[in-house]
Amino acid sequence: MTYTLLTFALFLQWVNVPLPNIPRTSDGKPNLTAPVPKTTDGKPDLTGIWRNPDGGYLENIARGGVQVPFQPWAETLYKQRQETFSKDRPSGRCLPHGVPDAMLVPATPFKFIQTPIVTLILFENQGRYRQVFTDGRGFPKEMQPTWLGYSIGRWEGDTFVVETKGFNDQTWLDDGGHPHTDAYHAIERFHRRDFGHMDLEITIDDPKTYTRPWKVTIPFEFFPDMELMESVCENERDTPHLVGK
Amino acid sequence: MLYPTVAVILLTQWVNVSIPNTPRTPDGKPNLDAPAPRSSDGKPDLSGIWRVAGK
Repeated sequence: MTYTLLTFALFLQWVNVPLPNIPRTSDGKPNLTAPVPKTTDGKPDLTGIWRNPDGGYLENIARGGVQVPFQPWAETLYKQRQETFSKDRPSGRCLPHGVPDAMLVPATPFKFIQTPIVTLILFENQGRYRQVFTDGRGFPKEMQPTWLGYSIGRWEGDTFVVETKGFNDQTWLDDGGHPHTDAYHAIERFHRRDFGHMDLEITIDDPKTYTRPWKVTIPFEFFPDMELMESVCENERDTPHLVGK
Repeated sequence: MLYPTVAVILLTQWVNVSIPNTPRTPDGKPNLDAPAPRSSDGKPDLSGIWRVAGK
């Protein structure tokens, strides 16, 4: 599958910024295998810019032979999206990527900002964000469906566990077209292995779409000495050029 | 001037959440005249949600 509309904005914004607190090797390069940094309260500090440089997960979150337990209607829809080269994917119309889709766009990284009461996830792509509350609150009693859901987080040892509910049914799990409904409950487990590597194990629990919960593990790399860039989707400009059956 | 496309979404999201560390008056309302909070290094802490003040 090819995506004809990927554009890259690599102009002269803040790139190659030698950020402090990044461990370095003797030649001055970021040491991505250094130990995990810790916050003052001893938790792993996930703060920083991350990306998955391999677009394979964006294309297919279930790559590598993961068996996806589709409900029949969902499998039909997924096949239809594949046959039409995903031309109707939301981001093609400047609508938001979803969870975890928004973290999988290789050209546009995301930034964790971790504080004791909330962790922000800022997406370069379309300038969107998530807030993961760690102040002890629960989910709202009623949730107006949203594109990126309502997230609460907790620590289980060195793993940051994020639960998200309250989605609408408009986003796709990946650009390949794995669907979900408003029953989608995402359970993300972020584990930073060392300074430069973090794994996300995400459990996709959506009984309307899948016959059982299923999970995938996605690796991320730290993107050192870089800042997020402004990214604006010019609404609908490219839509006429989308191709599909 | 009227702005016909302004839409206000105040449905059942996280509204009226009792945020910790918010100073309150005896009746439990947020005390907006309380002193500015400080970060651990002594600087004023601007964290929070703001909007333009009304008259």
